[in-house]
Formats: sequence, C-alpha cells, structure tokens
Amino acid sequence: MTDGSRPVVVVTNLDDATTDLVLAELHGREVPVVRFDSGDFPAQLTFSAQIEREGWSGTLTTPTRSLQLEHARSLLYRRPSGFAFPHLEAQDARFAVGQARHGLGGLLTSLPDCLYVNHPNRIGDAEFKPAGLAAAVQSGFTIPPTLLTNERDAAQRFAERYAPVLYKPLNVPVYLRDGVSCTVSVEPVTADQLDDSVAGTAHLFQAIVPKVADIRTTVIGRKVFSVRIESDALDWRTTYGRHTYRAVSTPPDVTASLFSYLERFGLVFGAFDFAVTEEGNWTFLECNPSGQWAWLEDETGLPMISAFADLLEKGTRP
Amino acid sequence: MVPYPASGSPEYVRAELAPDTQTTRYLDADGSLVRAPGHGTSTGTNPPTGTGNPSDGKGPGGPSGGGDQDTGNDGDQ
Repeated sequence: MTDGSRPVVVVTNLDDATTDLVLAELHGREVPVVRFDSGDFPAQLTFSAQIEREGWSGTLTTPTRSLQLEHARSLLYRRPSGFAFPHLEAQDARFAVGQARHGLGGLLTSLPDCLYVNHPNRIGDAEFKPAGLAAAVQSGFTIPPTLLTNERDAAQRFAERYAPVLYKPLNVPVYLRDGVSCTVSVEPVTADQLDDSVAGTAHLFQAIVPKVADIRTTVIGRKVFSVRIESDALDWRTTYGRHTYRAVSTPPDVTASLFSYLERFGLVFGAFDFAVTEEGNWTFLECNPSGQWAWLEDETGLPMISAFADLLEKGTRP
Repeated sequence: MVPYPASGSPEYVRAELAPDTQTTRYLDADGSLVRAPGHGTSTGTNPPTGTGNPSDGKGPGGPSGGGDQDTGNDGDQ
C-alpha cells in the first residue's frame, strides 16, 4: 500500500465541527479518512484483529468504510461519546463496557506505525491538573502559587497569604441541572468563605494572576499559534462576544517550554492557556490535550486547519 | 454550579456522516441540509456546539478528564 492511500483514522462523536473542518481539508487533498465513534459499537461497528510479529492487523468496518487497521497512517482522537450498552442491565452493561474499552479501545491505542493526535492514554495522563502543573514546572513555565487540599485550615491560610485566590475544579464531569449542562463558575474566594465543606473532597486553589490579557497558544505538530485575547473576564471561556483576538508571536523561551511540556506527555497537539501580566510575562494556567481551536482561525486567519491537516496527512512524528 | 452560557438552539433534527467526506451533515425535519451549528462563530459554550466551544471536553460528548473512558485509563488513579 502506498503512503498516499493509507487512511487517516478519526475517532470522535458525530457533532464535532472542528474535526469537520479538518476532514473537509483532507478530502480536498484526496487523503482517505475513516471516521467513527466508540458509541457506534457494536451496533454499527465491527472488528477483528490478530497479532503478528509486525503488530496488530485486521479489519474495522463502519457503515461507510472498511479500515485495514495496520494501514492507519494517523489517528485523530477527539471526543468519542463513549462505549454504552443501554439495552443491558447495569451489571452486564459494566461488564460489556469493560470488554469494549480493553478490547476495541485497547486495540485502537496499539496500532503499528500510526501517529496519534493525540494518543488517548497520553490525553488521559495530561488531563490531570496536578500532572500538568508538575510538567509545567519541569518545562520552565511560570505558574501561579497553587494548593491542593481537603483541609480547611490549609485552604484558609493559602487564601489569606495569596489573596486574591480562586477555586478551580480539578475535573468537570457532565453535571446536569434540569437537563441543562452546568459547570463551576471560576470566581475569587476569600478565607472566610472556606468552611468545613472543604473536607468533603479534593480542591484546587490558585492565586489570581494580575493579568492584562489572556493568551491561547495552540501547538499543532511543530507549528505554534498564539492569540492574545482581551476581555474583562476572569475566565474568558464563559463570556463570549466581548473579546478581541489578535495573533501574537510566541517568546522563544515560552516556545521551548511548550515543546518540553508536550514531549513529557508524548503529545503532538496542545491548547495552552496563559495569563499575561503588565510586564509581559506569560504565566501558565493549563494545557488541554483535546482543546478547541478552530474558532481562532475564524477570528485571526491563522492557518490552523491546514497545519492540522498537514500533521495528520504526514503521519510521522513531527 | 452554573449553566454554560446558552448557545443558539440548533435548527437541525438529525445528523449523519456523509459517506464521501466523512464530515457530519445536519438535516432538518424535511431532510434538507442546514448549516452546521457553531460554524463561523465564536459564541456559545453550551455543549454540544461547533468550532467556538473551548469548554474543552466538558460536554456530554467528550472525555471529561479523570482518564479516558474508551481506552486503558481507569478513572480513580
């Protein structure tokens, strides 16, 4: 099989407009694509694979494509809806999900000679904020004073010493109230607001960076795209429509830290958030290994879709 | 907990994969193609949305941290 006919594999849910933009670009380049969602399994997805000396080989069949697993040139792992067996009772469903995750999920993490953008297990590692902050420190980024705790006294002492501080969720699972998707509002907290409920689970507190703007830096392979976002919000992600966007260059020391960070996790893509101080220093807030980025091309004209398609088309580690 | 800012309600009733491009096409009740939700806009963070949703995997569609749901990472490491 020639390299040009090797398919790009895409694992995501059906409602993923960012991925659609990349796939339209790949289609224009006549790069073959096989897309599916884990939620399609097993009703619309079948597979068989055998292990040989060269690794796993076999076939995965979707309603519209047949994929030779060993031919995958790259795999874009975005946001699959997750294995689900709603027709089974809870215990049986749990068993079936486990078999699917370790069987098909495990197979998809083990394809030979395939560039992962990103590898699902590396995404899983990098989604832990404590791991991300540790990697950020090791990579030379400046980070805000940060406390992890479930002890009220420690939280209060931190809030007094570093005021103003904020509470950030460590993880945001689906949280529905009357069917409406909710998230935690990122707001300053004061020591007197912190009561015994801190003991109930793990919390992350962080000093608020005195910032004049935010930067979203998207790394796609070896390409770095930084956009300065001006808004009056503590968390710009919750207040659309009042922002201005401007492409900016990335300082060389920040660029070195970006690649060091991604290398530590084995990632080839990352969406980094920084707060910029009046002096122009970039403070690391977080890196999302599956972050959104396409709206920034809309806003700034930066050629991000094309860079993403390049990465998947090339299929080799950048 | 607070609701995500509401996004424009999508006008499609059905989505399906286009066999040739492998992109999603959105259809209304009559089966006619409609504009993809979220394309060309930077607004809206109430998942599911389109390109303008940097809420990053927090929607019902995505891995929500704590380990990927479909592969080898168990949740309570």
